[in-house]
Amino acid sequence: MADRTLLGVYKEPDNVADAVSRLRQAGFGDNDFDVLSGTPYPEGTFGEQVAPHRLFIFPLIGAICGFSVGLLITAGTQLSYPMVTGGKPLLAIPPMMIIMYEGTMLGAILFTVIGVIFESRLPRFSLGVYDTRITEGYIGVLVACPPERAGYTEQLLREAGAEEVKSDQRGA
Amino acid sequence: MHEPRPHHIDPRPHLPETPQALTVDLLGRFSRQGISGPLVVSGILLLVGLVGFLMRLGGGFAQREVWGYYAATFVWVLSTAQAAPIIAVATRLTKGYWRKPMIRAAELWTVAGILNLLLLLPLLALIPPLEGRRTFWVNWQGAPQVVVLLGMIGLVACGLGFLYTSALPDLGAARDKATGGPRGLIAALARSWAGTPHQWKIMRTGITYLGIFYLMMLVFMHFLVSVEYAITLVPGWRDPVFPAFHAISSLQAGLATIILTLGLYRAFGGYRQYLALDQFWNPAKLLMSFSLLWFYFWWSGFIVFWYGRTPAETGVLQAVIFGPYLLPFVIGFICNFVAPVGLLIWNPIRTSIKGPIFVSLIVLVGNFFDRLRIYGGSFLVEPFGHEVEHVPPAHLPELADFLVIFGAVGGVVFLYLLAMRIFPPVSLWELKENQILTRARSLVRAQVVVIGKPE
Repeated sequence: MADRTLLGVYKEPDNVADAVSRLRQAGFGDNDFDVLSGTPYPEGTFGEQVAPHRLFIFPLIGAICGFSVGLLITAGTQLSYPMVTGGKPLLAIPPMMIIMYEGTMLGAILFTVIGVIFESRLPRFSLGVYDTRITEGYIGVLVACPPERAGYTEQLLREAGAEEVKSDQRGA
Repeated sequence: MHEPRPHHIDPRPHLPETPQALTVDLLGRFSRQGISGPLVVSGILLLVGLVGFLMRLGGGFAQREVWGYYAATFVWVLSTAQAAPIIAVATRLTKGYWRKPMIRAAELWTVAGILNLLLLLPLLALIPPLEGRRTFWVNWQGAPQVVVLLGMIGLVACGLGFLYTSALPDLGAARDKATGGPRGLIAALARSWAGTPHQWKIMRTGITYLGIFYLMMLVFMHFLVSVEYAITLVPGWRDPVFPAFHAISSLQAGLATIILTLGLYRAFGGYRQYLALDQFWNPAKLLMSFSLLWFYFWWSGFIVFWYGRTPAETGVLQAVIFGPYLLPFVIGFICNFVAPVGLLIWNPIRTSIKGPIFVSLIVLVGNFFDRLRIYGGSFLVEPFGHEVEHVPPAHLPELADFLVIFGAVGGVVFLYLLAMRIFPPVSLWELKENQILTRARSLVRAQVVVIGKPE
């Protein structure tokens, strides 16, 4: 079971790509390591695999909920308290559409914001192993490994050109 | 021989060359930005506006015409400050590379919605009863109030979510390296942002979704406001083009807001090297297009009433164009169409920094007078019946109106400056992306910039 986390800090993007290749060759899976960067490199720059996200589900669910509430309120009230005016249809579609549109938008917006927070794993307060130089252009490679492989992983990260390797159990 | 350049100013910003230098420079500026003075001045203006607000509130809601200036101010903020973020949305969706140094300046304007949401509250009480007037709310008493309020809440929430999502990487950077600002709050907002590929992907997708939703909500709000506070208050006003005119003229004013903001960033904010000709020239081209569209949409609506000439139609023209608010209309027409097109059509003005700033100021003034003639006129007439029976003289502004107008300007600036203390006012991550995706290359004897556009 992985209970050690190592962070290799790199200055050059090429070294990061090299580290990712070495980790793969050493048997690490895509879920065992991550790349940390303060710069939005295009997806796959370092050969990393980015797991597909599910953010689109959030606005979709929000929109469906909002639309349903809008429909329920408008159609429900008119059908529950029918007031036929001048022989016109009971359901007044144009104002219903406005309320349903608004409900759809409100639901989609709310759920998107919630989705961004949860899908980014932002509810966590702790950063774990981190180096503030990443903000200045350095790139980190974060590896989770079993304690017995920590030494080997650290060596692997250093061989790829890491300027420093940090661990979550320095004193251990 | 080289052809002479059409302008003598370097079009591109001169940015620090490495991510480290860029981070140190931008976060250094963010940490030591001297905005305390403007913050105090705008705060005082906000308090002055609060006094005006209470004075207006003390007069009650029985006389709707005295609220015309207040309503115009509310819609002016909706049309300028709250429309400004659309420029960030549109340029990001179209991958306009010149947007990068200016995009946060546009996004920060989303905070103006907080004040405008409060300004809206008394206006809800000014929507007249539904009986005896044209409305699509059938017998649903209270529906327009609820729908307008929820729409505004949605727009403000969407804007704040959009700003937060877009600024997440910069909040993370400020958490790590900034030495000033409310660091505890910044760290709490940045939370565990570390810049994993997954987080970047979510952030990008999130701002795309929320940006599109913001555009949809802003246009929707213009529809609601223009219908509930203008069209349905003037008997005989049947104009499907008007909500579209309202939205288009708002985009024009939003663009002008951004250009003026960038001018202030450049002159007083210490961001001169980040904002070059590209950041003024390109929006100026859009501003000219929107000024032409302003006329096109206004004309499309006007011509129906002009040639229709029924009593109902001439009544509408009297109420909102040729009647007591003729002067505001003329000022609006000149400032929103004649002057911007007449000035920006000239290359030396359009291809400059000061020219677009000056034109933007004119457009913002024009937009206020345009809103005044619409809402001042609409609040003046009786909303019941089939046509305007009588157009009273214009309601002249009182002390409370002046205080509210200045207070609203002070209030949105105050909120903007407060937001600048939390969110870095220039997008660090967008500029870093620019650094890795932009290269200067030689093309035979010319120097060109090659811009990578992934995805």
